[in-house]
Amino acid sequence: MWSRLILAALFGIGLPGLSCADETTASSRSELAGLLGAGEAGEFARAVEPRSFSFPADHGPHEAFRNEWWYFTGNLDGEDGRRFGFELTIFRFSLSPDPVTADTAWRTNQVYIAHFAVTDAEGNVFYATEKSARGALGLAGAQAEPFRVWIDDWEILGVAEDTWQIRAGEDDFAIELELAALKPPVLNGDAGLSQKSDEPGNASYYYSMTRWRTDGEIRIGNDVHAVTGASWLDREWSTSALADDQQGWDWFALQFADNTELMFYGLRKTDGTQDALSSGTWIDVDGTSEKLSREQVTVEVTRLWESPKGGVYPAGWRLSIEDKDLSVEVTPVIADQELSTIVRYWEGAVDVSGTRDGEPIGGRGYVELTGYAESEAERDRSD
Amino acid sequence: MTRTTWRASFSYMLRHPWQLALSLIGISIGVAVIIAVDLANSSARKAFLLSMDAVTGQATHQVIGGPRGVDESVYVSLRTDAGFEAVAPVVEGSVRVDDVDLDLLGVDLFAEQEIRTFTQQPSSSDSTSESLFRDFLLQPGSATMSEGTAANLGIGVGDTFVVESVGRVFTGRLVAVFPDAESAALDRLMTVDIATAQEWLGKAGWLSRIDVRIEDGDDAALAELNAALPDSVRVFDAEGRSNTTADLSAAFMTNLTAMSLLALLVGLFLIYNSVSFSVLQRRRLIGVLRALGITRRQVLGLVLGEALVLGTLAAVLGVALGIVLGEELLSLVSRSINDLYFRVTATSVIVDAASIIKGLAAGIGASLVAAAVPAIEATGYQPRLTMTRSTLESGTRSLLPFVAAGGLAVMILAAVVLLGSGRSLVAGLAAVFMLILGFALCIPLAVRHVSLAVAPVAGRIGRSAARLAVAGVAASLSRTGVAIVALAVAVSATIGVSVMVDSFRGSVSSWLDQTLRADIYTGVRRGAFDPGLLRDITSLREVDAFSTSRSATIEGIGGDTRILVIDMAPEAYAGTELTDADPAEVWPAWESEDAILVSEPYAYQQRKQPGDAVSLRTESGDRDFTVLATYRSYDASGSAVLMSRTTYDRHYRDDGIDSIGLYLVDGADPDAMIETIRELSVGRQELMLNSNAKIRELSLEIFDQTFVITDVLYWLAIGVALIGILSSMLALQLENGREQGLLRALGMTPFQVGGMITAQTGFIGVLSGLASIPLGVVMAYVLIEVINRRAFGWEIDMVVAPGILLSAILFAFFSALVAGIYPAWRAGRTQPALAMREE
Repeated sequence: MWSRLILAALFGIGLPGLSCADETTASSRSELAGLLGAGEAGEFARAVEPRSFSFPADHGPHEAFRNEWWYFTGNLDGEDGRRFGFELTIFRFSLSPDPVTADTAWRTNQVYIAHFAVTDAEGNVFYATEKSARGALGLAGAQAEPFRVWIDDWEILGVAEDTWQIRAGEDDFAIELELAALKPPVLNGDAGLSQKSDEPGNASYYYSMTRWRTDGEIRIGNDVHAVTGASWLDREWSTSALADDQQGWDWFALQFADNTELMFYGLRKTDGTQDALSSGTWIDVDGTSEKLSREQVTVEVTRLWESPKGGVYPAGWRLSIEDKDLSVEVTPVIADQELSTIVRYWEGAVDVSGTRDGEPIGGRGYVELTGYAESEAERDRSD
Repeated sequence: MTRTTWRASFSYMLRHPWQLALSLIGISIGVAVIIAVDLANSSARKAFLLSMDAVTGQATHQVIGGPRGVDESVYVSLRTDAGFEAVAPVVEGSVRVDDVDLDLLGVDLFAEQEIRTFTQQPSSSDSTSESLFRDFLLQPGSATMSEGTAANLGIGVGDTFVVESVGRVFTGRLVAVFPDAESAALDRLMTVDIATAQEWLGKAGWLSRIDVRIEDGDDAALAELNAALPDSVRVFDAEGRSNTTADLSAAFMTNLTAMSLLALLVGLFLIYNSVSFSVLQRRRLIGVLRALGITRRQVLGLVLGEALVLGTLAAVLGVALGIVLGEELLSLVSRSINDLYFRVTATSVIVDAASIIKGLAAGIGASLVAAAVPAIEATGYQPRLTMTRSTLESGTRSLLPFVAAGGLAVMILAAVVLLGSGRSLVAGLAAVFMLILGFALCIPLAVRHVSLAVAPVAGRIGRSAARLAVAGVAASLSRTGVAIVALAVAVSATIGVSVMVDSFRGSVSSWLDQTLRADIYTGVRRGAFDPGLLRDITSLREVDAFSTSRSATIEGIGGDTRILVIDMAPEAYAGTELTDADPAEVWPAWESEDAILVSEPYAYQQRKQPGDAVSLRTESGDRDFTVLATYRSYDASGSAVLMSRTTYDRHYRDDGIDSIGLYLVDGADPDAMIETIRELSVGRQELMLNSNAKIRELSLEIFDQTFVITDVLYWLAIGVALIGILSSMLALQLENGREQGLLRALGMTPFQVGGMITAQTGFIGVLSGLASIPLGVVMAYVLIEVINRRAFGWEIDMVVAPGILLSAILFAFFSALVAGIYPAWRAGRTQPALAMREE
């Protein structure tokens, strides 16, 4: 999710190849944070206090906030047992808090960017791509009712209250999935207010729908695979969230075989320590949830992976929650699940195995790792 | 070839520097004109294609719509429904900044990476602006352009500037510049966000086109694209589309090339003249060389070798001169192309090897061809036989009837080519050249007979000096004949072109009289009227009735069709002259049915006549429209169809009106009305407002401008001819030096000798002028009936103004006199003793 924030910041400066020569010599990160936390931001709405969530309205866009995303990840199995993972994220950005009026439909301050990735475990291949468009003319947009978020022909579409469809693809790979929500939305943080740094307002509104039964097709090249599995939706909107001394983010979304789920994000500071605001959510079989503080969750890195593009990522974890009598190993399905999009980050399918209450437990999930590698855009800027 | 012979020819050249210089100049100008025209033509075409290329980018195809363009929803549907990714919307047009026309390219940066790169990669930018992307999206009026264009406009990054478009004023701000392409392809191009482009151009809701990139040979994708599009739009091959547009000007360029060849043709006579003169001068030397054992073949080689050296030298000079001249011509050519065909911003000639090789080949080739006849003649010189001038002239004399017969044959052949070549412009132009050549071959015989007939008369009037002068023309026909031919051809070309242009202008003028019926014309430069303003103008109480017009273009595979959409005031019908149908029947049908009228050029080019159908793409796909009649039109863009507003509104979603003609109530003062309308328009839309008389004047001005290039080329041809006369007279004078010495010894004063020479050149001028008239008139006829028709499809009534013919004769006479001044002065200075010592 940090990637999502960095992305937002970068967008404020310009897309790769579009970014202008900038005289700034400060570190890219503080500058990014500055861009997020200063200037016009005062005129955007801020996440300051808990709010009441209402669905389906809150599935739709919140344009008073600067950034927003619809973040789907999922683990899928082909009929022949072939293992896949997918990520489809659509980001919304407001470039300005001022309302736009014009005779031309092209004038807008809303911009949409999407990231789409597929992991093919058997082929040991990771596919990733992105696209962007202005939120105008119906080229890209988001709406609550009927629910739809889209860029071009990539879309997340509500066909019934708890039944959504996902469609995305390009030449090499594509997905077409139908998802049924098995659990209601859970509010992360303080009743949905997720504090990201100490300053009031540096927070987001954040809910998740942690288990969707998923059926459909994945196409790799010209081969179409019927798939079935489970997906996870993260929804978050904010205007500013980060502080200068925050380095990156390790995010876990784990779906256990016993029908429970765990969300945990660890905020890493520049000095290498974990930020006290790191936190998580435990979701029970019946959909009830419980906030987890940083102290309740222990994460140990067991392996490292060096990206061929530079940067060393953690590549295996031992995660334990004493209160839940849970201790699991989290292992990437394949090592290289790094996206070289506007920002470079690792977001990949993982396997989970360990014990809970002394019994063996398995599971699957997605992990996101940011702040381990500089993107080209960032590097260009800090040069 | 021995060194001796080369040395002989070299020293000969050195002893006759003026002759060498004049030949060089003559050929050089001929070559220069060819190169200049070729460079100007090809540079204009290349500049157009390069800028199209840059703007087209990686696009392989373009989706083109109707008169207003492509509905933007078509683009959205291509992306969201059909899932095409390599597609980019474009809104383009033309705006003015600081009185400079700029092409405006409105793009969506989100879609650009698949199609164009330059739009996204500014080399520098305003340090206060966070990014091009943000500026384009958030700041209306944000623009980028090339460094050179910005520098020429005096705009720096961060500066704001005034943009005039469709009669309105907007504020632009330069947020970044990109590096100049080497080809200057991005010259005078301003890139803005598509939203800004729609606002400035008044095109909200519409795209000019959609650029599409489809991998080579991916027919499935192309078929998919076609299937995804509505009937109102069509997919074009991007490169083909550029070429089709560029080809519009092909006929125009062919004509210019033909004119440049005329300059070389005149130059050809000049070369012939100087080479044969140099041969004659050295007949004794050649005789001696032959006696020394040099073969005929070697003599041929010597003369041709000289011509080759001379031709090469002159051609190289000509190339250099041509490049300079080409720069000058380019602006004229560009202007004509802009007026007639498409926008091109060619700022400097692109020198290419092909043009230069063409020019060199023409110069050297022409020299060799022109030298061939005298060279063959020289091989006939007998060893040691000192040929006298008289034997030579008698040889020439005996050849004259055969030459004239040959000329006649060539002219007949020209007629056959003209009649048999259908619609080919190149064949028509070839026939014109054959006609000139054939006629030229007949001139010497005619000159001889006329001179001999006139000589006694001249003797009675001006005594023996005049008699000698006139008879001298006939006596030295091998010199004078060629000079007369050169001048006659050049002058006849001016007659032909003048009569053609004059007739054309006359036809246009009377057409304007008939067509311009309204009292006031007003319109918007490149765009449509603000509907509110239009309503206010037409509801003024002084307005009795009004016509409206809209110029729309429908692109087709074979080229564009221009539709003139007219809503006619009752008085306006009579202003459109139908050439082949009954107005009483045509007009009601034209108003109500799916029918059109076609302009004469359109009818000729598309081979349409009443009863035929023309297929046009409409909102609901291709539809046939019946041709009811052909109407006379000399509109600058020529080829067009005339459609009634009601018919147009049935088939197109476009309510725009570009211009209106206002018919005022009796007694209303047009000038006062113009002021009233101008006041109405202030702050809303800048209008072009003209009275009937003013628009007539402007139309003729544009007409005249179009022919400036023609004038320039003909003056160059005349220049070459004058050099020919000068060279001939100097040659004669040199040759006749002994004769003149004798005359001086017999008591003639220098003044009298000079007078005699002057009389002779004057007589040559008059003969040339006379000879040029029949050729000029025939050329005018061919230019009007064949060339103009084949090139443009215009019907012109030929009118030969006596003034043109008279001024041609006077022009020939005086130019010959001027060319004779120096030779006359020289002849007067002849030292009798020195001149006669030659014997």
